[in-house]
Amino acid sequence: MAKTGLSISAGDESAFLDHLARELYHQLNFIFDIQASSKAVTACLKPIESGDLDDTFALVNGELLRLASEVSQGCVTSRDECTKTKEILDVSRVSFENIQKTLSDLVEASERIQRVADVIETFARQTRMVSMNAQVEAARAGEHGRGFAVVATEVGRLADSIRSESDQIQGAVESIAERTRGARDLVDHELDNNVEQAAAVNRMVNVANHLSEHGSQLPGIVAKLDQFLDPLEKAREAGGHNGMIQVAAGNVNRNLASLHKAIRKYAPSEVGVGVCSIEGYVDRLAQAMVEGDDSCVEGLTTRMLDSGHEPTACLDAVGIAVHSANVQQKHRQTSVGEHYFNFLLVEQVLEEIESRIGDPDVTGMKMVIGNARGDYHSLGRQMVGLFLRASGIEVIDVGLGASAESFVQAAVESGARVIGVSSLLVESAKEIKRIRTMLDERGLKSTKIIAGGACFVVDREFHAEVGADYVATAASDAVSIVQEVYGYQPMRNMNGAGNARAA
Amino acid sequence: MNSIERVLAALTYGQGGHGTPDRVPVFPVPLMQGALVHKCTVAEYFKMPAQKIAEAQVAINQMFEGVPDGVAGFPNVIQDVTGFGMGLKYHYANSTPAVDGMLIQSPQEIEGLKEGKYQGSPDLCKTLEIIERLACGIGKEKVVIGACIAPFSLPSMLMGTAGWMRLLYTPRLRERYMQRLLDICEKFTVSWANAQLRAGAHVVVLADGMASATMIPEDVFAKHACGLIKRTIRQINGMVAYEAVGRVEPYAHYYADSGAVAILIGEDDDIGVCKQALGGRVGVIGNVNNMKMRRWPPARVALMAKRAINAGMDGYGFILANQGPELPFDVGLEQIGALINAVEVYGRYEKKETGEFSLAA
Repeated sequence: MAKTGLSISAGDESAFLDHLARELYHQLNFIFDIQASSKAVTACLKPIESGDLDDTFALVNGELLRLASEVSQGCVTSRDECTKTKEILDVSRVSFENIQKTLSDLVEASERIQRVADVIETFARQTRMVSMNAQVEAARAGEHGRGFAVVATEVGRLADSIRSESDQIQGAVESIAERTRGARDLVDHELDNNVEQAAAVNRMVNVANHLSEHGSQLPGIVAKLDQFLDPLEKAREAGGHNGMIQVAAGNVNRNLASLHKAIRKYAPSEVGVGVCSIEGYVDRLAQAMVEGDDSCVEGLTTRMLDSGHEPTACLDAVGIAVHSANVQQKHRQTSVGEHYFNFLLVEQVLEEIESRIGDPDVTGMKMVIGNARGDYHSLGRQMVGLFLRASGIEVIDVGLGASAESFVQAAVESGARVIGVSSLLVESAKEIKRIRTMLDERGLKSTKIIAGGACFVVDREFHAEVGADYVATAASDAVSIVQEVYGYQPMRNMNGAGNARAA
Repeated sequence: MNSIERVLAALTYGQGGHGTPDRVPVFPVPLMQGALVHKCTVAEYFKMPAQKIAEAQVAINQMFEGVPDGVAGFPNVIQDVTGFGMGLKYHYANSTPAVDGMLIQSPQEIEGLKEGKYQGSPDLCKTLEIIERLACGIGKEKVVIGACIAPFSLPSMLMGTAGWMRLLYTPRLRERYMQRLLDICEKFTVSWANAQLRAGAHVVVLADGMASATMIPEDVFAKHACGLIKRTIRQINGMVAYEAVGRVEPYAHYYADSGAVAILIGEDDDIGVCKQALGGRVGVIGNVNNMKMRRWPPARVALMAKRAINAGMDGYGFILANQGPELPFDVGLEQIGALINAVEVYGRYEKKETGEFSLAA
């Protein structure tokens, strides 16, 4: 037993060490948070540090300069074209005015002809009257007036004929005058339009002049965008400081981990913990999993079950520990192999729990998992399946190379609200589109699809292209997503405050 | 300077007696795109005779005006399993085939596992013929590339990744079965790689998807993979380019004395850090994201290629390529063209009075 200089009993010391280990573990988590935040900042800064943004900026700036130059040139061209249009409209207006004058002259001439026709018509009417009077006088003259009567009759006929011709002339002249007036009205209207168009073009010339003036300033304005490179440079410097924070956090993290391990060595039991709360087991299980300490995981599980905690609560504790360990490992960019080691540990723990309680009770959460058609890479699917089970989620596994129909059918029959599709190959991954379509056709639009597998890790945006709702880049991601979809809070269940497991 | 001279000059960092490269070499990996040449599906293309596949690879090279410095003499590395009598199945018309069932269902079966033989596989014999045809023609100027699965990854093809992981991480199983399994895989890989070199391949890519930092932690890599990789490379009688699909950077320093001429790296790996770790002894090939190329516009591909060139060209030792394994079939030809063309635009070295090429000041 290490000498502390304090007079405390073995039990107190155990409790103290236990307390210290827990505190250290909280500090570790805190450091993990710092590291995670720092990594997130680094990820944001990465494009800046790598010069990606510079390249993109240069590309965009170059493109803007080209566009500005084109806009400027376009403004000048537009102004020139407007000026030309205005000149054409001016010439056109003069022509319209000439036509208008000619038509007015024509109307006047028609009116003059009409007046002449009126006079002729008057003469014809008077001649007819004279002819009739002459016939009357010839009749009074008897036999001597017979020859005169013939002449008077012919004069009357001639007057009728003249009147008839005069009527026709008058009608034709009237028609010409009317049409000429119509033409003149049209020309008047066009002339008005022309004046309006000329005014509009005039305004366009003014706008084009204005644009041209400002357009010539655009390249200068775009060139000033280079000033934005300074903040980028500063952000790059900040990235350097952030890197130092990360290194420091990593060092503190390692030191704390060593200290934690050392304290556990002096603790009274082989797993470094006495009887404690279920939350305490969660912390320790997670830490043992991160460290790959299989004997510790086994010992903790047995102790947790032996200490009187409900097996179902123990199952929840294991689920949360797995998740916590996976999250920590993800932050450290651990390999698939390390996750697989966790998988083996959890498999062992589940066996232990299930041997005591039979089939684990479920929370009511369900998920269909499988490898898409043509995909035979089962590792990820197996790991996801086990981590789901460890979290009390019922798993309906449709296996390797499963058809879209199998996934949908399993979801329909089980009522699962989440489907997980794993694929390494691009073509297999596209099966998700079919699954989505079939779900929609069956009215299961709210059923969520999680995409997982190598092709989604290499390109995370690929999941949206194939119609998946989520992407899981680590086996534990699926657990969080299912819990989110079902609105399940595992800690509440563990404390007995809600989310009761289904019967 | 032809492509072979350029690649050798680059991979020896200008110190190997081949002079200095005039530009950064480029190796796109359009394995499936040969189907576009023959206007057929990928499945139909892979089933074509050797002559047709060789013709397609030459045509693709010419499609990009001969700028690519290499041609692939192998349809796809998954075919290596046929050397163990396993079958392949095409589930999609335009995708690589998948294995038609696992050869090893349980670790106990490893005791009865027979050695693999490339001679017994029509697919692998066809690959040798493709390499021969390419070597006799375009291979006089362009690098003919062969490929095989590395012995540490071959078990995942024979028994599934999950099965291989379980064996690797379960001490009882590992101690009893792993050595025999890896010995058989090592023997096959070495004989198959040497056969490709004898057929005329200039370089063999050793594909090791299970040995990256993405897949296994460093202690497992150091204990079970690293020695095997180095021993395998030593037994291959020619140039080897090593490809661990996934993150390579954390283990890059292990490859400095591996005997490989280059390692293929991924988008998440820092080219500069890798080159530094390799100490001028092993070149770097990479690292434009092949999946993202599917949706990037050509300008974006060019930008990312430029970024890779900027990071890698100084001091030579760098070849531009998409990250492994191959280009997905639905990557557009414009995007592939943008990747290739980037070396002409951004990857030129300046010629000095001495006749050597170097980075412009």
